[in-house]
Amino acid sequence: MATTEKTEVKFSEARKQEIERIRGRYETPRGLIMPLLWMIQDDYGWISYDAMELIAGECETSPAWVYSIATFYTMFELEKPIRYHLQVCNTLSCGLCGSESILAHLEDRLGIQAGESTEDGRFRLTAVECLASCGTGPMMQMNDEYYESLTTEKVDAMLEEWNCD
Amino acid sequence: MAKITINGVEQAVEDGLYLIEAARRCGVDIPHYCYHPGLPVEGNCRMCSVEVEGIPKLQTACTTIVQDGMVVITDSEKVVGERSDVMEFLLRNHPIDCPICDQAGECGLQDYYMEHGLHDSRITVSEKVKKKKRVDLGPNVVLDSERCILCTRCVRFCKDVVGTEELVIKNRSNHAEITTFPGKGLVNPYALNTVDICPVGALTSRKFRFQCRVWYMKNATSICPGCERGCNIWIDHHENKIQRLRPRLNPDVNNYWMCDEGRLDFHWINDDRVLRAEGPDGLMRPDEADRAVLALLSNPGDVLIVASPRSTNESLFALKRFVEVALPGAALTGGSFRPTGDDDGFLRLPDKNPNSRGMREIGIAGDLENRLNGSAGVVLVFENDLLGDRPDLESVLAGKKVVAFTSNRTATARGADLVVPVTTYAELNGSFTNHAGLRQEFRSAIRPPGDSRSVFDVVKSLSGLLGKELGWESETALTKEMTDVITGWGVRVEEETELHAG
Amino acid sequence: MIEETKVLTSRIHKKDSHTLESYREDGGYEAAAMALAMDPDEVTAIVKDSGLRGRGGAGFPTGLKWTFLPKDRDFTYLCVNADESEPGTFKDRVILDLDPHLMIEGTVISCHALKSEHAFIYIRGEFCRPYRRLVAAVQEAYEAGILGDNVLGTGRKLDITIHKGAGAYICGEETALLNSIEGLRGQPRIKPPFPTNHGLFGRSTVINNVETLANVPVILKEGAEVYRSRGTEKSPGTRLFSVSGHVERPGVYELEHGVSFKDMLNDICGGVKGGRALKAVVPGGSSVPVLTAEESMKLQMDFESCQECGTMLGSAGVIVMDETTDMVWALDKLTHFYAHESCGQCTPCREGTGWVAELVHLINQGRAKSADFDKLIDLGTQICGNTICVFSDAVFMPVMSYTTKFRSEFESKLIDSAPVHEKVGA
Repeated sequence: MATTEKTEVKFSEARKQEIERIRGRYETPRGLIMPLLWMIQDDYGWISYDAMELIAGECETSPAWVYSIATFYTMFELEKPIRYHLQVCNTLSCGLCGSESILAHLEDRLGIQAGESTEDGRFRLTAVECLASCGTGPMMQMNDEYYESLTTEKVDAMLEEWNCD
Repeated sequence: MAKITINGVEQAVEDGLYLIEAARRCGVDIPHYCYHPGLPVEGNCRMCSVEVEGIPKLQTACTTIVQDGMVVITDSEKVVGERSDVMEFLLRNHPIDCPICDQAGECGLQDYYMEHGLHDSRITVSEKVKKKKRVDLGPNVVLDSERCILCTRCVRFCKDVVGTEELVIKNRSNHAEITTFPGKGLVNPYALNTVDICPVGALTSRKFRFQCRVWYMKNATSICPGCERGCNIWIDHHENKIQRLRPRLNPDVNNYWMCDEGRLDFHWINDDRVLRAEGPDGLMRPDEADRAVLALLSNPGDVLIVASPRSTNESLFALKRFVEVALPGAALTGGSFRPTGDDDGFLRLPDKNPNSRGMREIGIAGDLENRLNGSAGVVLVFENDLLGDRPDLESVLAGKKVVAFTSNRTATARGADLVVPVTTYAELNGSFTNHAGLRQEFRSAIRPPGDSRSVFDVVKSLSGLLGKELGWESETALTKEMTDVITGWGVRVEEETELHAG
Repeated sequence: MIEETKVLTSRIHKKDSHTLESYREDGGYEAAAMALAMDPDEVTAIVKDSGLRGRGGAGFPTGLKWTFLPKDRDFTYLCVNADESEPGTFKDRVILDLDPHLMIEGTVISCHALKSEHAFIYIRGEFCRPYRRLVAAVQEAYEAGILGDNVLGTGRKLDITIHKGAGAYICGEETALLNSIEGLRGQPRIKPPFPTNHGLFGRSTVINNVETLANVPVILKEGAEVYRSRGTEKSPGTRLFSVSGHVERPGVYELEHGVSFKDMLNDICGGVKGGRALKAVVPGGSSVPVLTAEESMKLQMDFESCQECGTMLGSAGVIVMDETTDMVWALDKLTHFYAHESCGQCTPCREGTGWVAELVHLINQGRAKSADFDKLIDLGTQICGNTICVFSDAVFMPVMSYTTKFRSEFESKLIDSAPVHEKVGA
């Protein structure tokens, strides 16, 4: 996940080829909206309003429509990305295994509440719903990776590593 | 035809109808919010759920297509209970701000709460989800997100009727909200229709907000004079002032809709009117004005009469007869210099006059410019702002005696030697013939201000002074003759009942 | 002492089990080659005979679903539902991550049976590694001529498009899934029309779960009769049980339908964690009615037994709760989830789930009165049955079962209840 500060959002040549490859897979132009939102997020780390307008153009739809889709799902980042986004599962199975204490520990260590970001903009902490890793709870997702069977000690070790980064 | 039984009564209805529409035609109104006959169905409000025999779950009447033999119950305990439940949910996060809400009096929540709710509140105010109370969606429409019940009528209107798709829902669950794209507005030329179809007070008209309580208003059927489409409208008025215009259902012309331009173009009827006739020596009574006009008509060959495609068929017909009977030798022409617009593929048409076709069919020629440049020394201009539309004509008119029969203080009126007030379309019974040849009648909504008279009354009076008879006892007789004479005008459009918005 | 019956999961512990090479070593795509040599209707008949029931939750007979496709259809889609999101369920993730080719082979066979030339796999957005592996596996399959214009040399055509979700539980509902692929909001559609008639992009569409499709190669390989020899008459075959919560060894276990919950708990999962007493069990994912310890001891893990027991096997996500569990707290967790995941389309669900969650939370915090509790019970029934999809039922069932079966725990937390018990912490 790149935090590149680009003013202009665009699809690279490789992306353009990829888009043409998958375009035929969707019978309506709108079908490309989610794949394109993902491409932008993968390339830029987040989806800006400019990006939504770009996507709207590709999908023959209004920017408002793209905005509606982007806000329906929880995984699309509509704010500038954070280096480490910690998403702690807080649904029942993880809850039974102590996710609340992991969350509390992280809040304590990072000095923020769930839903907030640290002042230096490196960490964001979110309590999320079931990530389908119920057998290895408590667990969290840091950016793209799952971290399972968490204990406060494990969490401390991770924070250590990420803080040094 | 399909035979269905609604609440024990067997009725025959058209095939393919949604149950809600079929029931309405059988006289059974099923409460609803998201359903609107002019929009694709969505079935989200759940207010119209009814029992259909053979199906255990309640079915939404707006998404169920009638089938032969269908047995429907719309008033059982189960149905009524469900409606009350839906009402409770809708009011869950709805603010209790009816006293300051413009929708009060025509609000679906108020109406149905009285009929189907009436439960004690189990909600404390502090529990309600807070949303934005005043969002400017564009130049004409204001959104109160807390009042919105997310029926998506406005969203569907922009997406499926206009095709601009500026309104969408963002987020999901009870955080869902209507919005435009950040930084962009609801700017389509039909945006105010969303206010009409909003069943609650979420979308209001910036211009109409806080102007008048709806229960004070009276309404009259009319036709929009904004272009040659002739959208059917309601004129809502209070204390002889027009408060707002709203579209009136006509499937053959404008369906449920009208453009914002037409809708907002009524202030000229309320304001800046010519109330008294005025000549070089000041104000005149109508009879004085008529005699002053008469004094200019001594040589008909020197007289040019300019008609307007903004006048009603009745005015034009009367004017034509006046020239034929009372002023033979005078020239009669008609036309307009109003700038044209574009055909936007929906309602708005290029010709911004409502009655160009009517004028043509009545037989008033449109060689206006040539005639004006001709030798006539006296020009009687009826409801036509020649100078407002074409300021360069001032030099052409300079050497002529000009009489302006006008409702407003137009540029033409200011340049005229004599100004005689006449009514607007809102103050008379009449008709326009639209671009497709459909003659559409309308009724007077408000009283003419000051000494304003209809063109019919003016020319009748002038004829009398000239010792001639137009041949009609009343305007009704005029209309009868006119519709007998002109092919196709005998067909009268059925007046539609109240706009189906609730 | 019972043991796992590893039919679908026989390979998952092998090194590089997710690769085509590994899959082929174990006879991968042989069933597909066999099926493609058969008449499509013959394949459908075998799947129908096997009695295979959908593994997504509803348990609808798969072969029967396939026969609902209209005969005169012009184009058919198969959509693979890999949007596993039901709390307590994590078995599809295991297949996607560790044996994606098994599901792809199931897709190839099913598409042949359905005469479909294009399958979409709708994979949950959060499944990052499984997604990467699935993409790689599909790529391998194209390169090996398993997908593309000449499937396994038969001249038939099949494309697989992977569509990545982005965080919405409701997209597991099959018509919401279709809308999501089409670039619409992931909201369920009004039915009828059903997807078999009017599905993805308006075409005839079948939607099947990952695990369901993973069964298909097995059925083709061993035949309907052998397949039926496992499980019960009405719930044939094995099942991937996701076991989580208070057990010694949580995880995904493959067992025959009809296994007793008690044996599964003790023999497979090592019993309740720390030797504590059992309090409650959710047998089929968070949306099904909860069972008390007593009820669960009589329970057999198949569709019909669960139904007899007043619950459902659902997605076979088994959540075990021990004696320390605060059931109000547990329901608080669940209703918070549902309030967050309502698509917001229908009034009763949009407004009702949020309201339910607030009331449960209020009770859990000890700030509610008995009137609030009464309201909660009312809401449970008010939400249910008047919405486009069954999400509202998924809220209704836990609310009603928790509040009924563990009523005293709720009552003890009310401000105006009789003696307030000591808080039972979790």
